[in-house]
Amino acid sequence: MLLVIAYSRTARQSLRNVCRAHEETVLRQFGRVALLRGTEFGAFQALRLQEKHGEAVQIRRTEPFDEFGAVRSRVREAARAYEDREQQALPYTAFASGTDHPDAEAMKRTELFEER
Amino acid sequence: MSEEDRPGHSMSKDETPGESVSDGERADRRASVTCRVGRKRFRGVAIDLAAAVDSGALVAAIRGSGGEPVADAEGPAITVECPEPGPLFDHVGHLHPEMGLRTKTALARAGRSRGMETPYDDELAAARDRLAALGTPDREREARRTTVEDHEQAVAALREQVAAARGQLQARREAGGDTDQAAADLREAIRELTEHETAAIAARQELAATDAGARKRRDRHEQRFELEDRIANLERDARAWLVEQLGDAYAEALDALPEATTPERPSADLFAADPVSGALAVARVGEPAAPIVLDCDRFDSAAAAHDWLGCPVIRL
Repeated sequence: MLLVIAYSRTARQSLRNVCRAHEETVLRQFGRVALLRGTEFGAFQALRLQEKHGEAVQIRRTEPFDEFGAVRSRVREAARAYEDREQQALPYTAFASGTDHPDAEAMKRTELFEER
Repeated sequence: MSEEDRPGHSMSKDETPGESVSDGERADRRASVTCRVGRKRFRGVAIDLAAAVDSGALVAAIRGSGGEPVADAEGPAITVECPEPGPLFDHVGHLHPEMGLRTKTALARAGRSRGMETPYDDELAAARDRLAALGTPDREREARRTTVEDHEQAVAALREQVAAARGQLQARREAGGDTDQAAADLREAIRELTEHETAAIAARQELAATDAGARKRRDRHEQRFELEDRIANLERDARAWLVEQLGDAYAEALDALPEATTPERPSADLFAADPVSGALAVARVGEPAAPIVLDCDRFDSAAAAHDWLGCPVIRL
């Protein structure tokens, strides 16, 4: 999928026009952001927008998020355990303290595994 | 009052020293417009022109105002000397039966033409200043991207050329002929290809370096974007405020339209009046700087239209 983000009024309007004109290529649209099919036509429309608006249009390619490939099991377990906690008001830092769960600051510094 | 001026005849002065002039006449003289059609000259605040004048050319002449005469292939050259039309002119400057009208927007502009200010104006000015201070986005990334694209395309073409030159050299060898030229051609093609491949790599690196700064540039885009939206909202609020302030005046103007020539209003909604009626009412509420072109049958004469509208009129 191609994620297209507008960073100006005119770019947003152009994006809306494209989405209206090519519904079959648009997977989702949220105002100034759209997800287009990862086809040549989707890329064509995205690149047209970039030609017209320069950096006021940002294009990213997205992939389905493979949580098992990209994320350590400890992180996944921490997410499950934290959502399952008994004390609702407990912040994660306190929750993780004294356990095997990964430290929040350390996680912030760690990039995900690359796609295999 | 329009006067025709024959060629070679100079305009006589309209006042002699010591003669008293009414306020109305003084205002009229200030607002007086001069319109030249071919060799005829018309002057005043209420000008009746022959219907043979193209209204589009007349409107263009008003916009061009004092510059080159506007002429179309069929009609005479037209010039109009008058104050420069303001934004209100876009809405009510040319009244004709097929016109459209965004009534509320026009009414808001009428308010501005009267010098009205809104409670949003200070914030609007501040936001516009901040937007201007952000400057225009630089298009450097695109320039670099284009450079990469150009080099990549050159590389593709040159690869074909090298392949062709190789083929030529091979063919010469097999034919047993002189290979010197073909070999030289191949060397040259390879040299050019290498040059462009190197340039392409360098260009891609420059692009990557530029992209590293993209987030900061997008932050600025975002600031601009937020300001643009803010300004648009404030402008919308200001327009609504002006429409609210002028609603009564507009209603009164609609009611004052000549009964004989005014179509019945389609509904109670004031803003659903037909465009010509709406535009006339808006023009009356506003203070148009430039003369209005009247290309419809609402008034018997330019003088009647001028009396009703309160601004200079050129009637076709």
